Amino acid sequence: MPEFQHPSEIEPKLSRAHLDVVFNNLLDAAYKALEATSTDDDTNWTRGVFPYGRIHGRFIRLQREGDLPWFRLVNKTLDYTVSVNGVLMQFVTDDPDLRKKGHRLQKNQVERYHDSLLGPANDGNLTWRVYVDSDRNPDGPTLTVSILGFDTNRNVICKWVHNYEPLVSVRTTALSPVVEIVDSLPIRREKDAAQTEMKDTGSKDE
Amino acid sequence: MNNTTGFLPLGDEFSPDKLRLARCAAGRSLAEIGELLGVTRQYAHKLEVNAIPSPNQLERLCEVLKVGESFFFAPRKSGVELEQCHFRSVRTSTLTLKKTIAAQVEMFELLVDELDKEVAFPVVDFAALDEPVTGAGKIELVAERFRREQGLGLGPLSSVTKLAEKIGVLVVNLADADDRIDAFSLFNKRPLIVRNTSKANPGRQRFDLAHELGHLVMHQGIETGCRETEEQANQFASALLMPRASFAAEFPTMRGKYLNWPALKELKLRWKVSFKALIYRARALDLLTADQAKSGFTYLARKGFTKSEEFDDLIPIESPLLVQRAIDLLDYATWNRVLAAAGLSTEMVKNQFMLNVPIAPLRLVNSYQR
Repeated sequence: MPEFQHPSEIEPKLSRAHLDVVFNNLLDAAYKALEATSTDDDTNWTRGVFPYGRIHGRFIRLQREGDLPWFRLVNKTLDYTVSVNGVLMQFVTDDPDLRKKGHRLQKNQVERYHDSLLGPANDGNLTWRVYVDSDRNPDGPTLTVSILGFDTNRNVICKWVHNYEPLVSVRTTALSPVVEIVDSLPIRREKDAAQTEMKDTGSKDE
Repeated sequence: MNNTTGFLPLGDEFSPDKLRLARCAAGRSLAEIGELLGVTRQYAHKLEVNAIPSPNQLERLCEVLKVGESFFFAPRKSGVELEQCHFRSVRTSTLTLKKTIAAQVEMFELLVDELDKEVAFPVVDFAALDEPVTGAGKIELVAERFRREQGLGLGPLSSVTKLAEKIGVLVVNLADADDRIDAFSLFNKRPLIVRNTSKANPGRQRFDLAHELGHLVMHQGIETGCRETEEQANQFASALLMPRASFAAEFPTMRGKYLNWPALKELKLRWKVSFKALIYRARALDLLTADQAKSGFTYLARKGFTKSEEFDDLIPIESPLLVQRAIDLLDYATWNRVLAAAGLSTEMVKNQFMLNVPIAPLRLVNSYQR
């Protein structure tokens, strides 16, 4: 089933390690944005656009810091597009299973130029989109990131849901080690030894 | 009883006190004993005062109360009084049930006394406070001192049961100590903690044990069960399981007005406590406001996480091992000697105290069965 394939099965350049870094960063930025938009003055609009903007900002930062040579932000406009090992992808805040923003499947100028460099469209020319979706839980929304690969007919040929591992789940990185308590072992009393000792004492008296 | 004469052995005195003890431990009323012996309730009462049962009655009593005959012919040494036990005031626990459990503990102590002659248990190695403590701040210091004295550092404890056993506390399972009674402790001859065997929540089990350690450390000679002492024991348990220095540094920040549940899950699994205990502790340390803590409790209640919680299955349940290990050291003959000296039956040790006993290496086979 193609839906259960990791994108790297179709496009080897999209390795697990690289996608994990991008998506964990994305979710980290998005969760922080949700924190900031949980005031009483926030609306669905702020809750929707703020994370999208923050993800954009995170990618700009990753590009600026330059620690990831395989990562580039090739389009900095609102339909921002990143390149992971030369494979382009856009980001959409939408439900990947019930996609409302169909227009976001259209390739932007950067992607079209990229395709033109690769030559005539073939099965290798896929469109990659990353969907960020929220379960809208009032007690604290959970975000999921899915990467979808579309062929030229806009059929989904790859779908993969990212397993989020918080970048830093706790405030500190230097955790106190777990205190291993050793087993307590009862000891058999040596009664015979005591008796022998007594006998020895007796013989000395004689 | 003398097999030849059918009379009670000469010189040994029947102990009415021991009959009362065994009856209480079995959770039987005087009327029930009377009925089982075919006598009146009044006569059953008399047996617990100064009357001596007939050989047949004695045999029946042993059978019903699951003790050996020798049990009734040794004087009752030091009884376990209810005031000595740090029971929690659980609404469902009746006085009768408490008396039953206290009697069972006294009988368990008889077994431990005899075991102690054969096997050396770890020495009692913790300092109990001489004066009553007041204030959450002081209890925090008591728990920190306890950690320091035991060389525990600041990290999560791998096992609270092992910690209790390491410092000389015997942890025991009693089959009858269910939700109606909760865990409790006492310091009679040796500190002892009775676990509630029905709790499936490993975090709560650990918290209960830490709570009882709090009683043993702070409430020697103090009658407990009131709101104040229970609160103190809870504060000790919280501080012992989640030391403020390390816990405060690890507690995840809020996601705006939301608690960071994925990070709390990590914290729960690392510290092996319940979500509820995490939130209580965070509130006590002012890491959460009253409203934030309230919203956390509401979330847990709405999810139905009262007795058990999500991810409990990822935390191993702790089991006491020390007494079982002591029994395992004994050969069958020695075990029988210990059992006879305590006056208990194998059935009681297996069923009430939930311990495995040595098995006879050889089995008697009647020749005519061939």
